[in-house]
Amino acid sequence: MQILKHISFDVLKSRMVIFYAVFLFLLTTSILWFSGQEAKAIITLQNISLIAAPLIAVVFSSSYIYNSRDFIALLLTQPIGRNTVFWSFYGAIAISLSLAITLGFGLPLLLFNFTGTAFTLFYLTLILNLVFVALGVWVAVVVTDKAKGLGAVLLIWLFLTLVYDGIGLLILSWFQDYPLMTPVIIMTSLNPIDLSRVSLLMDMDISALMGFTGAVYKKFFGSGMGPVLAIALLGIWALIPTLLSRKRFYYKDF
Amino acid sequence: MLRVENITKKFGRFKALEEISANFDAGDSIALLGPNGSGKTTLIKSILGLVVPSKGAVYYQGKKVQPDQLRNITGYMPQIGRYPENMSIKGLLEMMLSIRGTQMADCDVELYEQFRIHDIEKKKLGALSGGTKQKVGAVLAFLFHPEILILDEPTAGLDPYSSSLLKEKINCFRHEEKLVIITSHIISELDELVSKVMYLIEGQLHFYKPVESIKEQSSQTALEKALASLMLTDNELRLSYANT
Repeated sequence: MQILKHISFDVLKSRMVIFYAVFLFLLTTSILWFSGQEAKAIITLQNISLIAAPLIAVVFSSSYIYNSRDFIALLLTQPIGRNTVFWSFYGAIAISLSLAITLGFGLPLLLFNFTGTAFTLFYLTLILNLVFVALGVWVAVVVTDKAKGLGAVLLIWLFLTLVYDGIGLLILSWFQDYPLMTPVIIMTSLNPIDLSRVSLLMDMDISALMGFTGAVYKKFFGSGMGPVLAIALLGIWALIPTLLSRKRFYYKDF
Repeated sequence: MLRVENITKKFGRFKALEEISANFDAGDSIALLGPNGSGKTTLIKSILGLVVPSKGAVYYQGKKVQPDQLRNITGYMPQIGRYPENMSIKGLLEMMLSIRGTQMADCDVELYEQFRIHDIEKKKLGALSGGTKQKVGAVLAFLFHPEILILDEPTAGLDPYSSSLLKEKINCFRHEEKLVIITSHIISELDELVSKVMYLIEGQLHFYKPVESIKEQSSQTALEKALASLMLTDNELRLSYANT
């Protein structure tokens, strides 16, 4: 616990995290201020939370682990378990970035008295943040070379935000004469960013605007169990890289 | 006191260490020498448990041990490039104390006082110069009264005064019947610190001899000159340096 505390303070005091929180706060506040209408504001904010937050999470978590390499090695020569060291670093990064998002993003939403959908967007951002922290830590633990690791991390982000959707659209247009409900649902579930976006759209109840796919999503994610299912899937997305990196960390040479 | 047996470490196809076996007795002070990439750091890290050997084991007082069982009695001074940037020296010390559940009063604070760390303890670790980082590393290595002391290039970057304080401390330590293992590139300064020399070439143990016998063999009084004259007769030793 003591290690977690000290490392968390180190992360929280880093310029990047402070800048991130302040930047999020200013941006969110100004968007809320100028757009007035809740639905419009949410659509704009969604781009920050579903695209920018994962990028920051994945880049920050991996580079923090890379920069702490020497220090991790020093800690591992102390009478303390490898698991404790791993969870301290992982926890410190996850807690600090979540705090930055809560202050920079959640606080303005609260100040402007937003409810319902805004809250959904907020918790989805927090979970996505955890998913991408887990991915970043995993890459940093598996790939020893820092330059390669940061490259891999950017590729993962680019793939999940852009390339994946592109491939999805291609498949949809190629096979539009066939029943696509199941493949569409599966493809969406396999990408944490898409999953969050769909959950948000369901929450805003504007799926009718999306035509065919909207109807498909509505049927699956729009039911009472929809949000629960989405959160569970996102949870699995955060859990798998976490467990993989913990295992790798345990046997790693430093 | 400490024994390594058949330590082998492979990174893929590359053999960083090959069948290293050696005995380290209490009161010994061992210089671990060799050109870059000869496996010095890998050997140290195998003893510390930072690297898991592909083969071989470490024994302490006759019993086979997992390296993590030795951590309570080991002090390690790494060649550290980076500490957490926003942590203060004080924070770092508090954290290390909390891991062992002890207080400063029960610790060996001699170097802490001699290096005047107290005066700068609020400084952030990210703002420290290389030499000051080395001092902090030295303080940590001695802090918890270790039985085994492992120092990786201890005086690199230290000013002459601090370096002599540290050497004095190391000498005191080894006369308490404890074990010291030092790697360094500056052979002349090891002269007064070590009793045995272990020389690695390409992951293999080239020789492991008392300093006295090296000096006798070459009829030189300084370790640096003795090693240099050994190179005249030992082709492998000479080539190992020519290649780096």
